[in-house]
Amino acid sequence: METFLKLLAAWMPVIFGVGFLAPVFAAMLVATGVEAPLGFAPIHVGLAAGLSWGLIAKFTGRWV
Amino acid sequence: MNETTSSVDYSSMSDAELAKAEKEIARKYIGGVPWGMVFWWFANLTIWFALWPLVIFNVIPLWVGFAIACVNVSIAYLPSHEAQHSNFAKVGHPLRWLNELIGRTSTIPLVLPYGVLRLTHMKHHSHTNDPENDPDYGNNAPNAWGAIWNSIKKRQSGSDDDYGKALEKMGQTPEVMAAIYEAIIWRLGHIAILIALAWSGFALEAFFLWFLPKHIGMSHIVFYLSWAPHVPFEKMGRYENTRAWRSKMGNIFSQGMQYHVIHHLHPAIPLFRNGAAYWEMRDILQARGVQIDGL
Repeated sequence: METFLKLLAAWMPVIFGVGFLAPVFAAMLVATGVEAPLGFAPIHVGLAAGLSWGLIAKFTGRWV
Repeated sequence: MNETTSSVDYSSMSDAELAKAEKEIARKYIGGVPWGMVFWWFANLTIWFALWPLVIFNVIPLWVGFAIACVNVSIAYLPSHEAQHSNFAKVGHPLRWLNELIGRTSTIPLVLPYGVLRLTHMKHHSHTNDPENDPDYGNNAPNAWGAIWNSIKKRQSGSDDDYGKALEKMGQTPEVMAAIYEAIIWRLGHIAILIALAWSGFALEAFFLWFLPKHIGMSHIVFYLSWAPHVPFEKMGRYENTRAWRSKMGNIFSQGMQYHVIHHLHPAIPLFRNGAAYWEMRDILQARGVQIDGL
Protein backbone atom coordinates (compact mmCIF):
# COMPACT_ATOMS: atom_id res chain seq x y z
CA MET A 1 0.00 0.00 0.00
CA GLU A 2 2.79 2.41 0.96
CA THR A 3 4.63 1.72 -2.31
CA PHE A 4 1.46 2.27 -4.30
CA LEU A 5 0.75 5.56 -2.51
CA LYS A 6 4.32 6.78 -3.08
CA LEU A 7 4.04 5.93 -6.79
CA LEU A 8 0.68 7.68 -6.96
CA ALA A 9 2.10 10.77 -5.24
CA ALA A 10 5.07 10.84 -7.60
CA TRP A 11 2.83 10.78 -10.68
CA MET A 12 0.09 12.96 -9.19
CA PRO A 13 1.08 16.09 -11.16
CA VAL A 14 0.63 14.16 -14.42
CA ILE A 15 -2.65 12.62 -13.25
CA PHE A 16 -3.83 16.07 -12.22
CA GLY A 17 -2.69 17.65 -15.48
CA VAL A 18 -4.49 15.09 -17.64
CA GLY A 19 -7.42 14.41 -15.33
CA PHE A 20 -8.32 17.94 -14.27
CA LEU A 21 -6.41 20.63 -16.13
CA ALA A 22 -7.04 19.12 -19.59
CA PRO A 23 -10.85 19.34 -19.42
CA VAL A 24 -10.55 22.76 -17.74
CA PHE A 25 -8.42 24.07 -20.62
CA ALA A 26 -10.84 22.56 -23.14
CA ALA A 27 -13.84 24.11 -21.40
CA MET A 28 -12.07 27.49 -21.31
CA LEU A 29 -11.43 27.31 -25.07
CA VAL A 30 -15.08 26.54 -25.70
CA ALA A 31 -16.32 29.22 -23.26
CA THR A 32 -14.12 31.93 -24.76
CA GLY A 33 -14.83 30.89 -28.37
CA VAL A 34 -11.14 30.38 -29.16
CA GLU A 35 -10.66 27.97 -32.08
CA ALA A 36 -8.28 25.06 -31.53
CA PRO A 37 -5.45 25.15 -34.14
CA LEU A 38 -5.09 22.72 -37.08
CA GLY A 39 -8.64 21.48 -36.73
CA PHE A 40 -8.01 19.79 -33.39
CA ALA A 41 -10.86 19.45 -30.91
CA PRO A 42 -10.64 21.59 -27.72
CA ILE A 43 -10.08 18.47 -25.61
CA HIS A 44 -7.04 17.50 -27.72
CA VAL A 45 -5.48 20.89 -27.02
CA GLY A 46 -6.46 20.54 -23.36
CA LEU A 47 -4.87 17.11 -23.11
CA ALA A 48 -1.65 18.30 -24.76
CA ALA A 49 -1.42 21.32 -22.45
CA GLY A 50 -2.44 19.40 -19.31
CA LEU A 51 -0.05 16.52 -20.00
CA SER A 52 2.84 18.88 -20.79
CA TRP A 53 2.29 21.01 -17.70
CA GLY A 54 1.83 17.93 -15.53
CA LEU A 55 5.10 16.43 -16.79
CA ILE A 56 6.93 19.73 -16.20
CA ALA A 57 5.52 19.85 -12.66
CA LYS A 58 6.50 16.23 -12.03
CA PHE A 59 10.09 16.60 -13.16
CA THR A 60 10.78 20.13 -11.86
CA GLY A 61 8.64 19.92 -8.72
CA ARG A 62 6.96 23.24 -9.56
CA TRP A 63 3.76 24.30 -11.29
CA VAL A 64 4.81 27.95 -11.53
CA MET B 1 -14.87 47.66 19.57
CA ASN B 2 -14.19 49.81 22.64
CA GLU B 3 -10.63 51.00 22.03
CA THR B 4 -10.02 52.25 25.56
CA THR B 5 -7.44 50.98 27.96
CA SER B 6 -7.21 50.69 31.72
CA SER B 7 -6.33 53.56 34.11
CA VAL B 8 -4.34 51.20 36.37
CA ASP B 9 -0.55 51.77 36.35
CA TYR B 10 0.80 48.36 35.36
CA SER B 11 4.33 49.56 34.68
CA SER B 12 5.29 49.40 38.37
CA MET B 13 3.81 45.94 38.98
CA SER B 14 5.87 42.79 39.50
CA ASP B 15 5.66 39.86 37.06
CA ALA B 16 3.50 37.95 39.53
CA GLU B 17 1.09 40.85 39.89
CA LEU B 18 0.91 41.31 36.12
CA ALA B 19 0.26 37.58 35.63
CA LYS B 20 -2.54 37.69 38.20
CA ALA B 21 -4.16 40.78 36.63
CA GLU B 22 -3.86 39.23 33.15
CA LYS B 23 -5.46 35.98 34.28
CA GLU B 24 -8.32 37.81 35.96
CA ILE B 25 -9.12 39.65 32.75
CA ALA B 26 -8.75 36.51 30.61
CA ARG B 27 -11.11 34.56 32.88
CA LYS B 28 -13.91 37.01 32.10
CA TYR B 29 -13.78 36.15 28.41
CA ILE B 30 -13.49 32.36 28.69
CA GLY B 31 -16.45 30.02 28.78
CA GLY B 32 -19.76 29.33 27.09
CA VAL B 33 -20.34 28.17 23.54
CA PRO B 34 -19.30 30.81 20.96
CA TRP B 35 -22.59 30.63 19.05
CA GLY B 36 -21.50 33.37 16.66
CA MET B 37 -18.79 31.07 15.41
CA VAL B 38 -21.28 28.18 15.17
CA PHE B 39 -23.38 30.41 12.92
CA TRP B 40 -20.24 31.34 10.91
CA TRP B 41 -19.47 27.64 10.34
CA PHE B 42 -23.03 26.70 9.36
CA ALA B 43 -23.69 29.71 7.13
CA ASN B 44 -20.35 29.56 5.37
CA LEU B 45 -20.53 25.86 4.60
CA THR B 46 -24.19 26.06 3.54
CA ILE B 47 -23.51 28.96 1.18
CA TRP B 48 -20.48 27.25 -0.39
CA PHE B 49 -22.41 24.02 -1.01
CA ALA B 50 -25.38 26.01 -2.34
CA LEU B 51 -23.15 27.72 -4.91
CA TRP B 52 -22.84 24.49 -6.88
CA PRO B 53 -26.51 24.03 -7.85
CA LEU B 54 -26.97 27.80 -8.11
CA VAL B 55 -24.20 28.04 -10.70
CA ILE B 56 -24.89 24.73 -12.47
CA PHE B 57 -28.58 25.64 -12.96
CA ASN B 58 -27.67 29.20 -14.03
CA VAL B 59 -29.41 30.88 -11.11
CA ILE B 60 -26.27 32.98 -10.61
CA PRO B 61 -23.42 33.51 -13.09
CA LEU B 62 -20.16 31.68 -12.58
CA TRP B 63 -18.18 34.86 -11.87
CA VAL B 64 -20.53 35.72 -8.98
CA GLY B 65 -20.18 32.17 -7.67
CA PHE B 66 -16.41 32.47 -7.95
CA ALA B 67 -16.35 35.74 -5.95
CA ILE B 68 -18.53 34.25 -3.20
CA ALA B 69 -16.52 31.01 -3.16
CA CYS B 70 -13.30 32.98 -2.63
CA VAL B 71 -14.83 34.51 0.51
CA ASN B 72 -16.24 31.14 1.64
CA VAL B 73 -12.90 29.38 1.33
CA SER B 74 -10.94 32.22 2.93
CA ILE B 75 -13.10 32.19 6.06
CA ALA B 76 -13.50 28.41 6.25
CA TYR B 77 -10.53 27.85 8.56
CA LEU B 78 -11.42 29.79 11.70
CA PRO B 79 -14.40 27.69 12.92
CA SER B 80 -12.12 24.65 12.72
CA HIS B 81 -9.47 26.62 14.60
CA GLU B 82 -11.86 27.16 17.51
CA ALA B 83 -12.64 23.44 17.46
CA GLN B 84 -8.93 22.56 17.50
CA HIS B 85 -8.79 24.38 20.84
CA SER B 86 -12.03 22.70 21.98
CA ASN B 87 -13.59 26.15 22.39
CA PHE B 88 -17.07 24.95 21.42
CA ALA B 89 -17.03 22.10 23.93
CA LYS B 90 -14.30 20.30 25.88
CA VAL B 91 -13.99 16.51 26.10
CA GLY B 92 -16.93 15.16 28.12
CA HIS B 93 -19.19 18.15 27.46
CA PRO B 94 -22.63 17.22 26.02
CA LEU B 95 -21.88 19.38 22.95
CA ARG B 96 -18.51 17.75 22.26
CA TRP B 97 -20.02 16.22 19.10
CA LEU B 98 -20.67 19.76 17.80
CA ASN B 99 -17.06 20.74 18.44
CA GLU B 100 -15.82 17.75 16.46
CA LEU B 101 -18.42 18.19 13.69
CA ILE B 102 -17.39 21.82 13.17
CA GLY B 103 -13.71 20.92 13.31
CA ARG B 104 -14.05 18.19 10.72
CA THR B 105 -16.39 19.89 8.28
CA SER B 106 -15.58 23.60 8.26
CA THR B 107 -12.38 23.10 6.27
CA ILE B 108 -13.98 21.00 3.51
CA PRO B 109 -13.68 23.91 1.04
CA LEU B 110 -10.01 24.25 1.97
CA VAL B 111 -9.38 20.50 1.86
CA LEU B 112 -7.51 20.63 5.17
CA PRO B 113 -7.99 17.56 7.39
CA TYR B 114 -8.89 18.27 11.02
CA GLY B 115 -6.62 15.61 12.53
CA VAL B 116 -3.52 17.10 10.90
CA LEU B 117 -4.57 20.67 11.69
CA ARG B 118 -5.18 19.95 15.36
CA LEU B 119 -1.91 18.11 15.94
CA THR B 120 0.27 20.58 14.05
CA HIS B 121 -1.49 23.62 15.49
CA MET B 122 -0.79 22.48 19.04
CA LYS B 123 2.88 22.19 18.04
CA HIS B 124 2.70 25.70 16.63
CA HIS B 125 1.45 26.96 19.99
CA SER B 126 4.05 25.10 22.04
CA HIS B 127 6.98 26.02 19.73
CA THR B 128 5.95 29.33 18.12
CA ASN B 129 8.72 30.73 15.90
CA ASP B 130 11.06 27.82 16.65
CA PRO B 131 12.73 27.09 13.29
CA GLU B 132 13.01 23.37 14.10
CA ASN B 133 9.71 22.64 15.79
CA ASP B 134 7.09 25.17 14.71
CA PRO B 135 5.24 23.61 11.72
CA ASP B 136 4.25 27.13 10.60
CA TYR B 137 7.76 28.55 10.68
CA GLY B 138 8.06 27.97 6.92
CA ASN B 139 5.60 30.82 6.40
CA ASN B 140 8.21 33.37 7.42
CA ALA B 141 9.20 35.93 4.80
CA PRO B 142 10.82 39.37 4.96
CA ASN B 143 7.84 41.28 3.55
CA ALA B 144 4.16 40.99 2.59
CA TRP B 145 4.68 40.07 -1.08
CA GLY B 146 7.37 37.62 -0.07
CA ALA B 147 4.88 35.99 2.30
CA ILE B 148 2.28 35.55 -0.45
CA TRP B 149 4.82 34.22 -2.95
CA ASN B 150 6.25 31.92 -0.30
CA SER B 151 2.79 30.51 0.37
CA ILE B 152 2.28 29.84 -3.35
CA LYS B 153 5.69 28.16 -3.61
CA LYS B 154 4.95 25.95 -0.62
CA ARG B 155 1.93 24.51 -2.45
CA GLN B 156 4.07 23.29 -5.36
CA SER B 157 4.24 19.56 -5.95
CA GLY B 158 7.92 19.28 -5.03
CA SER B 159 8.01 21.65 -2.04
CA ASP B 160 8.71 20.67 1.57
CA ASP B 161 5.73 19.30 3.45
CA ASP B 162 6.13 21.09 6.81
CA TYR B 163 3.07 19.48 8.37
CA GLY B 164 4.14 16.03 7.16
CA LYS B 165 7.56 16.53 8.74
CA ALA B 166 5.97 17.71 11.98
CA LEU B 167 3.79 14.59 12.12
CA GLU B 168 6.82 12.39 11.44
CA LYS B 169 8.61 13.95 14.44
CA MET B 170 5.64 13.12 16.67
CA GLY B 171 6.17 9.39 16.07
CA GLN B 172 3.77 6.71 14.89
CA THR B 173 1.14 7.13 17.60
CA PRO B 174 -2.44 6.05 16.82
CA GLU B 175 -3.48 9.72 16.69
CA VAL B 176 -0.71 10.61 14.22
CA MET B 177 -1.40 7.58 12.02
CA ALA B 178 -5.12 8.41 11.97
CA ALA B 179 -4.27 11.98 10.93
CA ILE B 180 -2.00 10.72 8.15
CA TYR B 181 -4.68 8.35 6.78
CA GLU B 182 -7.23 11.15 7.02
CA ALA B 183 -4.91 13.46 5.05
CA ILE B 184 -4.40 10.84 2.32
CA ILE B 185 -8.15 10.25 1.98
CA TRP B 186 -8.86 14.00 1.86
CA ARG B 187 -6.19 14.67 -0.76
CA LEU B 188 -7.08 11.77 -3.01
CA GLY B 189 -10.79 12.40 -2.53
CA HIS B 190 -10.42 16.05 -3.51
CA ILE B 191 -8.52 15.22 -6.69
CA ALA B 192 -10.96 12.42 -7.56
CA ILE B 193 -13.94 14.77 -7.13
CA LEU B 194 -12.30 17.49 -9.24
CA ILE B 195 -11.51 15.00 -12.01
CA ALA B 196 -15.00 13.48 -11.89
CA LEU B 197 -16.60 16.95 -12.10
CA ALA B 198 -14.30 18.03 -14.91
CA TRP B 199 -15.05 14.98 -17.09
CA SER B 200 -18.79 15.25 -16.35
CA GLY B 201 -19.08 18.64 -18.00
CA PHE B 202 -18.49 20.78 -14.89
CA ALA B 203 -14.83 21.63 -15.42
CA LEU B 204 -15.26 25.40 -15.13
CA GLU B 205 -17.47 25.04 -12.06
CA ALA B 206 -14.87 22.81 -10.39
CA PHE B 207 -12.11 25.24 -11.29
CA PHE B 208 -13.85 28.48 -10.28
CA LEU B 209 -15.84 27.26 -7.26
CA TRP B 210 -13.20 25.09 -5.66
CA PHE B 211 -9.71 24.83 -7.18
CA LEU B 212 -8.92 28.53 -7.70
CA PRO B 213 -10.77 29.83 -4.58
CA LYS B 214 -8.86 27.24 -2.54
CA HIS B 215 -5.54 28.70 -3.66
CA ILE B 216 -6.67 32.28 -3.19
CA GLY B 217 -8.09 31.41 0.23
CA MET B 218 -4.91 29.62 1.30
CA SER B 219 -2.82 32.68 0.37
CA HIS B 220 -5.17 34.89 2.38
CA ILE B 221 -5.10 32.57 5.38
CA VAL B 222 -1.34 32.08 5.42
CA PHE B 223 -0.80 35.82 5.09
CA TYR B 224 -3.20 37.01 7.77
CA LEU B 225 -3.32 34.08 10.17
CA SER B 226 0.32 33.06 10.11
CA TRP B 227 2.67 35.63 8.59
CA ALA B 228 1.25 38.96 9.74
CA PRO B 229 0.86 38.15 13.47
CA HIS B 230 4.26 36.45 13.79
CA VAL B 231 6.54 38.49 11.57
CA PRO B 232 9.57 38.74 11.98
CA PHE B 233 9.47 35.12 13.28
CA GLU B 234 12.50 35.74 15.47
CA LYS B 235 11.52 35.65 19.13
CA MET B 236 10.07 32.65 20.93
CA GLY B 237 9.12 34.07 24.33
CA ARG B 238 5.50 33.95 25.49
CA TYR B 239 5.12 37.73 25.18
CA GLU B 240 7.41 38.09 22.18
CA ASN B 241 6.35 35.46 19.63
CA THR B 242 3.15 37.20 18.48
CA ARG B 243 2.46 40.88 17.92
CA ALA B 244 -0.60 43.10 18.11
CA TRP B 245 -0.92 45.10 14.90
CA ARG B 246 -3.30 47.33 13.01
CA SER B 247 -4.23 45.89 9.64
CA LYS B 248 -4.36 48.32 6.70
CA MET B 249 -7.28 46.28 5.39
CA GLY B 250 -9.23 46.42 8.65
CA ASN B 251 -10.09 43.86 11.30
CA ILE B 252 -12.77 41.99 9.31
CA PHE B 253 -10.64 41.47 6.18
CA SER B 254 -7.76 40.32 8.37
CA GLN B 255 -10.16 37.91 10.14
CA GLY B 256 -9.59 39.38 13.61
CA MET B 257 -5.88 38.63 13.52
CA GLN B 258 -4.93 42.09 14.78
CA TYR B 259 -5.60 40.61 18.22
CA HIS B 260 -3.88 37.26 17.60
CA VAL B 261 -1.57 37.87 20.55
CA ILE B 262 -4.57 37.31 22.84
CA HIS B 263 -5.17 33.94 21.18
CA HIS B 264 -1.57 32.85 21.78
CA LEU B 265 -1.66 33.92 25.42
CA HIS B 266 -5.16 32.59 26.12
CA PRO B 267 -6.32 30.15 23.39
CA ALA B 268 -9.54 29.40 25.29
CA ILE B 269 -10.83 32.93 24.58
CA PRO B 270 -12.98 32.61 21.42
CA LEU B 271 -12.10 34.74 18.40
CA PHE B 272 -15.06 37.10 18.75
CA ARG B 273 -13.92 38.10 22.27
CA ASN B 274 -10.22 38.60 21.44
CA GLY B 275 -10.67 42.29 20.60
CA ALA B 276 -12.45 43.19 23.83
CA ALA B 277 -9.94 41.16 25.86
CA TYR B 278 -7.09 42.91 24.07
CA TRP B 279 -8.31 46.39 24.90
CA GLU B 280 -8.81 45.49 28.53
CA MET B 281 -5.40 43.80 28.68
CA ARG B 282 -3.44 46.17 26.45
CA ASP B 283 -1.52 48.00 29.19
CA ILE B 284 -0.51 44.71 30.79
CA LEU B 285 0.71 43.43 27.43
CA GLN B 286 2.68 46.63 26.95
CA ALA B 287 4.24 46.25 30.39
CA ARG B 288 5.13 42.66 29.45
CA GLY B 289 6.95 43.84 26.32
CA VAL B 290 4.51 42.65 23.64
CA GLN B 291 5.23 44.23 20.24
CA ILE B 292 2.31 46.57 19.57
CA ASP B 293 2.24 48.00 16.07
CA GLY B 294 -0.28 50.83 15.80
CA LEU B 295 -3.07 49.16 17.77
